[in-house]
Amino acid sequence: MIYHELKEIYKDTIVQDSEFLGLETFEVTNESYFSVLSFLKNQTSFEILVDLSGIDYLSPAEGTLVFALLRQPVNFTQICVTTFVKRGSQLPSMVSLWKGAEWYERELFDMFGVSIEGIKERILMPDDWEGHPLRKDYPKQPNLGL
Amino acid sequence: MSDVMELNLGPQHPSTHGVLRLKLALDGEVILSAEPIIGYLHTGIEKECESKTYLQVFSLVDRIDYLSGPSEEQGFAGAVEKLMHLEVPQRAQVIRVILLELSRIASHLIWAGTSALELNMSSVYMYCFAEREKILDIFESYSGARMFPGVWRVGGMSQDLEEGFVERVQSFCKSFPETWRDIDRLLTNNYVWCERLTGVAVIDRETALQYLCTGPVIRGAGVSYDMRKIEPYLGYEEYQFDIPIQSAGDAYARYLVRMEEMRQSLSIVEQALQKLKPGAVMVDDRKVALPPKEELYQSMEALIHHFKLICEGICPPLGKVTYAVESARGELRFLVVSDGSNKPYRVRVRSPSFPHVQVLKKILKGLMISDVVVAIASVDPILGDVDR
Repeated sequence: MIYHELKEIYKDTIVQDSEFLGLETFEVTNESYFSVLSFLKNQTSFEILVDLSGIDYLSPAEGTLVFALLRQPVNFTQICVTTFVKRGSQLPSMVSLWKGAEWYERELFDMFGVSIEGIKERILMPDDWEGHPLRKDYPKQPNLGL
Repeated sequence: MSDVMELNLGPQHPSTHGVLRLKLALDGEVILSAEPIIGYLHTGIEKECESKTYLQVFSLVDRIDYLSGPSEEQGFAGAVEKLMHLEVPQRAQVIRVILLELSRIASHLIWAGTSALELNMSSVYMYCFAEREKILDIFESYSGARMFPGVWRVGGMSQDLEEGFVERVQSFCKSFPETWRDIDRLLTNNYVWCERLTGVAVIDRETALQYLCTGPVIRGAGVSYDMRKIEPYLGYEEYQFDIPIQSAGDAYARYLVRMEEMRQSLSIVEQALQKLKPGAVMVDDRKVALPPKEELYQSMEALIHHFKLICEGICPPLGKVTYAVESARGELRFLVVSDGSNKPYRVRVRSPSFPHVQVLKKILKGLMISDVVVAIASVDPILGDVDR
């Protein structure tokens, strides 16, 4: 099975693996994030990138859990690869694997402030916007000074 | 020597299906490069969901893809139901399928109508909108709302069907094939339509995979990819239907895919009507569903449950769940993270239109400027869905 193979090759870099409601999830270190995804795409034919986004946490550590959901185009097996990006750390870009990842990475930067190699532009918010809205410490009600 | 001209198409432009801005670099009429710029319709729905109870979220997600509200509601409801291990009653599942498929037809009708209008065929537009009106009337008769039914609840539907609903849907099923044939006759072999669509905006299999395309776009490129088959929900595995596939990958292939999808959807609606049996439309779980009104006057327990549900709402267990539906535009995936409270910790919407606008950057290159509207229409983006 792919999961065993993955565990075997990346056993030093997998922080945690779990299965919840039928979805196999591997948490890997920031350094191995790119090589795990590249392995999954090129060696095990997880060719479809379904989704790429994040979940922000303030505790136990401040940072964003970036997740990438992959799928095989033939038997449609799914796998989720996550990595916890602490504030200020940088993540490699996946644009060389999937060209379409670019906008998703821009959204990650825009919404969570995750710094990703080669991504500098916001996508949904205006260019001069301050802060990253989907962070948990971002206020829900902006101070409009009224 | 040729000068490169920069042209901004949109954000206010009748053919951009919302507020999409395209920055085009032109050499004469040929497009050298195109850069879609989005965000004009960003409403922060994902952030807003984090401060709303599970029931309140429904009215927000409805408005993401405003042409197929039911898919969005099913996406969110399905995710929470999966997290809570709730089995939706059979009747509610069938009602949901009917509404979902009708909304798919309505959405494709708008697409066909507006695409034709952009190529100056205004009669097709009228036929499509008149037919869509019938679907909206069906929605209105059931829920009181035309575009966003808002009848989805976690665990079922808010109310049972009223009398006459089935007959209304049946009469629609009877009249629709004729309209479909009209549209087919007006477009499929129409010389202008074929000339303008064939070979334009080609998205092949490789591009579709590279750019995360789903729905009619990837099916037009020859990949059989449909959430109803891959991750069947609401008992879709029991319905007989085909996934239309075309291999050309151009705008015309996507047109054929959508036309065939309308017929398949209609056949699903007809099958669903057969399956419609009397029964409950809401789970019998007092932690999720409101108790019947009559019980409130006699039972203390019912009153407590009513009070708790109204004041606090539903509290799903801790967990992270992802759930996908096939909306009219492609794979619509919800990720819901619950921290055990009555509000979701995070709601992520993987909207199908987002990657479809991104792929414009690739497919517009080398086309003529008159093909831009065709290319945009052929991927059928809804800007509310793109910007969320």
